[in-house]
Amino acid sequence: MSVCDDGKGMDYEMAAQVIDPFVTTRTTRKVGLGIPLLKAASEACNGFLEIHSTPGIGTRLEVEFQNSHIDRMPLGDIASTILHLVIANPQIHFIFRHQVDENEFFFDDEPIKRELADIPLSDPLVISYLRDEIEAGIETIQPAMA
Amino acid sequence: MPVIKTLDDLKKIREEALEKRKVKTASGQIEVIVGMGTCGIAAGARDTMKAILETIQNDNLSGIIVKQTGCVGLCEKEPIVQIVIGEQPKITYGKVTGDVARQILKEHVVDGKVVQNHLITL
Repeated sequence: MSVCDDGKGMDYEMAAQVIDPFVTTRTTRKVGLGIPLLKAASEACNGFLEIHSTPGIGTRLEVEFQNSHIDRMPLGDIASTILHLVIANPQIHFIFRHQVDENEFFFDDEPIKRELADIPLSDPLVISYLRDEIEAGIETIQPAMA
Repeated sequence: MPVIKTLDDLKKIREEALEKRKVKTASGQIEVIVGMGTCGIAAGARDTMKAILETIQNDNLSGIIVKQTGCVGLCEKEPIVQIVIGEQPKITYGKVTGDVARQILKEHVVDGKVVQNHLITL
């Protein structure tokens, strides 16, 4: 799994700090538990977490799990996750790519926002539209049930 | 087989939403802000967010902007939901489960009555 942005990026020291929850310097206000927890979860499953970041360019977080590992936590309700992120962060342009074997679901909220213009993403009709689109897209790429 | 929606559907949605806006009386913009930091999520903020979006969709509540924010520094009170209606001061609620979120939307956002027993005074 990877999460990439074209945000402000971090220097090497900062990138190292966000991985470690126990580093305490003056800048630790920006240090949280989300990334260390994800790192611990991946390492418990033969995986790893890496952060590549360049100030002014952006950040790429990559995390790998052994899919078949007995301790791998379930992915959970990924459709709701993406739906909540897209609706509750209207200022962010989201591109979501979900791949299962050769099948891929690609979602880009930019054309939707352009079409909606000043109608908020949390309008009841829009929530319904986005929910259907994301749920249907993820469902179509699932392997056929035997 | 699920139906993939198209941008044409969005055109219709936009027209419908604009039509509804004309009818609605302007009480100012309503913002619902959910704390979704790790502390919020650990306390169940995802269920809270789920309940809020489902209630808006099912009860057809238009004119509400839903946003998420990070940790607001009151981790023990999470899940935290804040409501801003027009120019009124921000109201902060703590321990907002899915059921409490539904109650806040119904009583505070729709009927304008603050839900006293989950109120946090900052």
